[in-house]
This record gives sequence, C-alpha cells and structure tokens, in this order.
Amino acid sequence: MPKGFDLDSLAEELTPVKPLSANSAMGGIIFLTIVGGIFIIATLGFRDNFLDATATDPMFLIRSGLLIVLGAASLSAATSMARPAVGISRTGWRWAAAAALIIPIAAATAALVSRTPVAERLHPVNGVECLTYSIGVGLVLGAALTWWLRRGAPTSPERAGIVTGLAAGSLGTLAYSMHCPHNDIVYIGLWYTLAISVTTLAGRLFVPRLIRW
Amino acid sequence: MVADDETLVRLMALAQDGDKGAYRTLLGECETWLKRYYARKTGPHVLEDLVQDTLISLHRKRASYDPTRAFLPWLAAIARYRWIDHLRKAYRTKEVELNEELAADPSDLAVAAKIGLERLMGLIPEKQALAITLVKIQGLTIAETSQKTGQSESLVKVNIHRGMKRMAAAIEEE
Repeated sequence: MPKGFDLDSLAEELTPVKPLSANSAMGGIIFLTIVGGIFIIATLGFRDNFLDATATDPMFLIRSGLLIVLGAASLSAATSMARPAVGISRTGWRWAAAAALIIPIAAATAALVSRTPVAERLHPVNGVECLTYSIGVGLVLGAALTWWLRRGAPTSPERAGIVTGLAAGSLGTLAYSMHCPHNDIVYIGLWYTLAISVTTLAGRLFVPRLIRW
Repeated sequence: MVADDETLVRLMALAQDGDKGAYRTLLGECETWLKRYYARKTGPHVLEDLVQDTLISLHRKRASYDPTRAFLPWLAAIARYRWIDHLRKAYRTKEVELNEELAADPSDLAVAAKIGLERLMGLIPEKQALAITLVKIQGLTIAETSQKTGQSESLVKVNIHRGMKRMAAAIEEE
C-alpha cells in the first residue's frame, strides 16, 4: 500500500491504454503457428508426396482437424481469460479436450490387439524428434500467450496456465504434423498426446506464477 | 447512490482514452460501490485497505476492461480476486462486528445478488463457507471456530483450505 493513497493522485497517473483485444491476440498466435509450420517444413520438409497422397489421407485429416479444434477452443479460452467478468463461462475447451482424448483411447485399444510388436509401430527415434519439435514450437507459442495474459487480469491463474499449455501444445503439434510421416494411430496416440500433455503440465506448473497480479 | 452501469461504461471508456476528469469521477463511484460490495464480508479495519488495493488493481489492469461489455461484472471480478487474496493473507481483525451500516441500497440488490460476495460464498458447501466466515472474516481462532461449529480443528483448517480453493476457481461464476 503506497503511503498517501488518494483518488486524485491515482487519477493524475492516468495514461491512455488500448483495451486488450482478444481477437488480435488470437491472430498473433495463429500467425506464430503458421510461422512455426513454415519453419518445420523448411528444416525437415513436407510429408512425402504431400499433394498426391498424404494430404488426403484420412488419418492426416482427422488428426489435423482435431488439433485445429482443440487448438482453437483452448486458444480462445486462454485469450479471453485476460479480460475477466463475473458471469462469463469458458468451458468449451473442455469438450474439445474430451473429444481429442478419443485418439489416445483408440491408440491404446489398437495397441492391445496389435499383431505387430507395438515397439515397432512407435518408431522411437522419430517419436523423440516429434516431441522435440512439437514442444519447441509449443514453447514459443506458450511464451507469447503468457506475455499476453500478464497484461490482462486472469482471475484463475491455474486454469489460465492449463489452457495456455493446451493451446501451445496442440498448435505446436499441428505445426510439426505438417512434416510427420506417420499415419499409425498407435504412433499418433502416444507421441502427440505426450507432447500436448507435457506443455499442458508445464503451463499448469510455470504459467500461474508469471501471470498472478 | 452509485451511477448506473451505462454511465460507468462511458466513464471507463473515456478513462481508457486518457481522460483524467472522467477517471477521477469513475474512481469515486467505484470507491463507494466497493465499500458496499465488501461491507458484510470484511472486518472494518481491513475494508479501507481492501478498497484501496482493488482500486490500484483497477488502475493497473484498466486495459483488461472490454468497453463493449458491462462495467460492474468486470469490477466485481477484480474485486472478488482481491478479496480472496486478502483472505488468504489470513489477517485477524479481532473485531467481530461487520459494516452493517454500509449495506447495499435496494437499487443495487438485483445486481449484487448475481455478482456479490454472498453469491460467491453460496457456490461452496455451507460448512466451508461457515469456517471461512468465522476465521477469515470475523477473526475467530481455529480453536474457537472448532468449538462453535463442532468441526474438529483439523477439519476447520481443511474446510477453509478447500473453500478458498473452490471460491478462487469460481470468481467469474454468477
């Protein structure tokens, strides 16, 4: 509490501010995601035969679609949390997250009845590359989102941390998936889920202390 | 009597543009509103501090107000956040009487019912709300609260902890 607090001096300190715009924050993050995708394609290359076969592969479409929906839902929740109000509900991202959980569940089921040894389907060398790049792009996105939230007034720093990590992870994974050559549900169910879980956990652990006010 | 929400929206939009006069008026209105908002849920010694802290938060976070939305729900979210923060610091007032004379005037009641602190405490189980009221707001010790409520001392602590956590997560709920 500063000594000599009074409303006149507080009013005297007023400088104009631009109201935070959730739309421009979302635009900024989407732009960074595209940059991340271009970086992945430039350094690692596109999926093989992208235009001929892989762009229409059902698994590629399903996973891209789910990542876009999950990314959009959590990104919109995270950006809107910067501007609080009693009476706002932001629970849509939970449904998107629940829908995305179908992938690891299907993967676990497929692994249980797999005739091929599961270890072979997981391609650990590629998997670690997938984790590194997805999380790497995710960290950049997460840092940008955290910076945005610091300017705002999120009333639940923990929840804001979770959706920040979720948005960063799903969009980071989406960027990497432009390169990812694997269409195997078991592969995607493990590595993609792991990448998104890591960023979500990191968001929950580290973001709250950065955005408290 | 505090100005209606439309007026506050207009003043806040002017303040975001840098109009110091409008801002000074707004701060005065908010001070009055906040005193009433906190009155029944804070001891008299901390009321002033809490109102000041909230006004400073309003000042620092003024860009987080969206001028296309209502003003009071935004202010209430800031106020609830600061209130829970204050409760966490576990001050003791040793004064049991609250600021009954600052009770909201009837015109505020409809709004207050939705965005008030009473409403927030109503979102958590009764036993937790009771433990928080007695210890954190009225300043009783854990032992006194335990006697009064019949909850064991450790249960009082658990109830306070859980209740605070739930309220913190429910700040934006009506």
